[in-house]
Amino acid sequence: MRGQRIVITRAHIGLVTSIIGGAALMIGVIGLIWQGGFTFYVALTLAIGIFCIAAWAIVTPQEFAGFITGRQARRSTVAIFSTILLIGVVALVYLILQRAALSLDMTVAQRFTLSPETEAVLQRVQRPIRITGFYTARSLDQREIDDEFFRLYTSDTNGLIQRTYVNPDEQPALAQRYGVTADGQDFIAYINPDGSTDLTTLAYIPRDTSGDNQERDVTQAISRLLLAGSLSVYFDTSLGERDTADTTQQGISGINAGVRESGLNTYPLNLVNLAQTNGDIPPNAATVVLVRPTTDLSDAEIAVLDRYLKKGGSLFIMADVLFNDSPFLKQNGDFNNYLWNNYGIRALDAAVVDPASSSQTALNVVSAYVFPQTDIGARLDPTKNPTMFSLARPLDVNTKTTPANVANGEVILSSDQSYGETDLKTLGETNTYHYDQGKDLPGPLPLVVWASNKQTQAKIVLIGDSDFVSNGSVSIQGNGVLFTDSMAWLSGLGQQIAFAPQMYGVGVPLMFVSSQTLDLITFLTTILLPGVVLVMGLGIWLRRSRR
Amino acid sequence: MKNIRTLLIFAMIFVVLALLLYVQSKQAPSVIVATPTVGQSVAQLFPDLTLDEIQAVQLNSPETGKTFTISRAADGSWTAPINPGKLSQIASNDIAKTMVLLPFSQTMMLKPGDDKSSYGFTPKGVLQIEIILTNGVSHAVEIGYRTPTQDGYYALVDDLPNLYLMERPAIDYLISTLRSPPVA
Repeated sequence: MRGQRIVITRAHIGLVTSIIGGAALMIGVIGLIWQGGFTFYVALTLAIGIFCIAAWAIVTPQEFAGFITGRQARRSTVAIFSTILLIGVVALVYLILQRAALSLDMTVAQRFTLSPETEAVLQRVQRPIRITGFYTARSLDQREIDDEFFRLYTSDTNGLIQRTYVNPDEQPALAQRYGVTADGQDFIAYINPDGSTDLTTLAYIPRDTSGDNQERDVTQAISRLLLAGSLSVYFDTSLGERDTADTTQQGISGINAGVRESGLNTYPLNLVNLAQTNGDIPPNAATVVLVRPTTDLSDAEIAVLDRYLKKGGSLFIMADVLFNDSPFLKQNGDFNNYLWNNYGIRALDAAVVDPASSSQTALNVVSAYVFPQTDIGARLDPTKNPTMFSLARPLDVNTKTTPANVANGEVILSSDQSYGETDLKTLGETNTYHYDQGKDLPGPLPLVVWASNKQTQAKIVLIGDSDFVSNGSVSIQGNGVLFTDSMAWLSGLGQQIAFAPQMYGVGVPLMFVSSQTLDLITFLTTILLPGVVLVMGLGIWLRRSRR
Repeated sequence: MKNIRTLLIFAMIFVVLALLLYVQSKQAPSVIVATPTVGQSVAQLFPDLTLDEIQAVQLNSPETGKTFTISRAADGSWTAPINPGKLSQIASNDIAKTMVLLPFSQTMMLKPGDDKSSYGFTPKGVLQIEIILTNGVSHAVEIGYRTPTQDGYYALVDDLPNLYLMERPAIDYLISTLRSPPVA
């Protein structure tokens, strides 16, 4: 062997150029489709392919003609081209499957499968929806994790729910249009027929900071989008309540905007006028909200609310400690008695003082106990998401002799060390308080209670404070969650997405593969390995042919 | 003939799959990733710059017109030619060190004709930094808006075509220095 001259024939050159030309053309065609047009590398690959095929035709015209006509093609050339095509077929199958967003949960506990509750919501999706995530380069890992999860929604709706990711650093104008304020925020909106995002339906997907309720948060956002505009909430304005248009720290413009962002319509209500004209609350009212009326209700006004509740209405009441002559929900007042007799809940004439669970002063009470099994308290873990009240009234729930067909209960309590200061006169005049045995109310005291009538479907949430929803306080800790989850339960929004315990894991998936790694695996398995086999086969063939 | 038949079958399968991929590509994509940006680390804007090479630094706010300049005297101490009063040498050194370290986390390619106003260059930014070196070379850094996530500032550097994402603390420090120059 040693000393033998290596002779390169035209046939050898023709063979090599045919292989390179065939492979380059195949890669070029796949690249062209994959990239959706000509890029530099696609054009370069196609040019190499065309050049090599042309060289093949020039160097060995008979071999080329024989291959094209299929009459006299050499077996080796045909075999090589068959192998090249097989590699191309494998690569195309991979690309098609990759884009098909197929998901297969192979975990024993089905950790990566959407819950039946979510699937029920997704069955109602009829119009294309887009989830738009804003992730900077610093949050690429989080984006990959979130996309693994969002992909389930795409898969479950056969592509009706689409995903788009934007780097806000690179597109600040778009980020501003969406209202992006932090890295990793996700938004949801319908898609217009022309493929653009319908910004009029845009809604932020609030994410539980604990990360334990990812599926619920996203599904709730989808459900809200589906329900957008179908539910109406009425804020009464006739009894001196906080103003939904007031943008100051004391106003409640924030919750009004929040309710609207959740897809509910909000309207003002004039209860006094309805009572005077013997009118009724509009039948489309999903919830009537009383945010700290300053005066107590008359019999006629109570009658309006009673008629509404008997038709299955929902009432959201927030009552403050008031120092006027006829304060709203005074303990022996008509409306308080109405609530007690018909729903087993009432407000007490006292102010909660809690030295153990409070912020600035003992009157700034922080939730100490929460009943998490209630729809309203599920997200209000006092250790992670405490609610903060200011000069709150203690409430009372009649659980022993509950009125017929009524279910009621507590949601949030003050601590064991708390008490209800009943000397409101001294408190109001001197801002001083101390526990008087036998006179003041011993804690723990209910701060948030609920009631519902199983027969009429009427629902009531009573909260002994309204400061927590004011613009200055609603964003503090769990205050916003208390309001929104109360509203969701009352309006029926929560029924659409009543969740079993969260099933989806939000940590890093068991096997985390980034898109770059996935591309490398694709290259290794579909291009490199078969290519190496091809080259080895070619080498063996050349070696044998020289013998 | 058998080999040719196999080749033709593979060719037909290839064509069918290619058409399928084409049709799939034409449908609305389920995922649109704007830019396949990769993980990043903080780097110096002028990695070769040393403290001794800095002759002068000028900070200027196009919005307010306020300017603050520090310049090195012959004995190596810092002076503030525009601002009367005693200049803090420590603060001046900190400014110069900031120029040396000036950290950025990412660069982004701007295409010709891109609207730079969304990055805060209308056409000027919120802060202009000019560094003059002892060898007469100068560098100009134009700082734009803060990023949407408030983590950094956009910046244009010299005549380079790229957009830089500057780390926020360094730029915040320079802005506050311009507002309250360290001159007693």
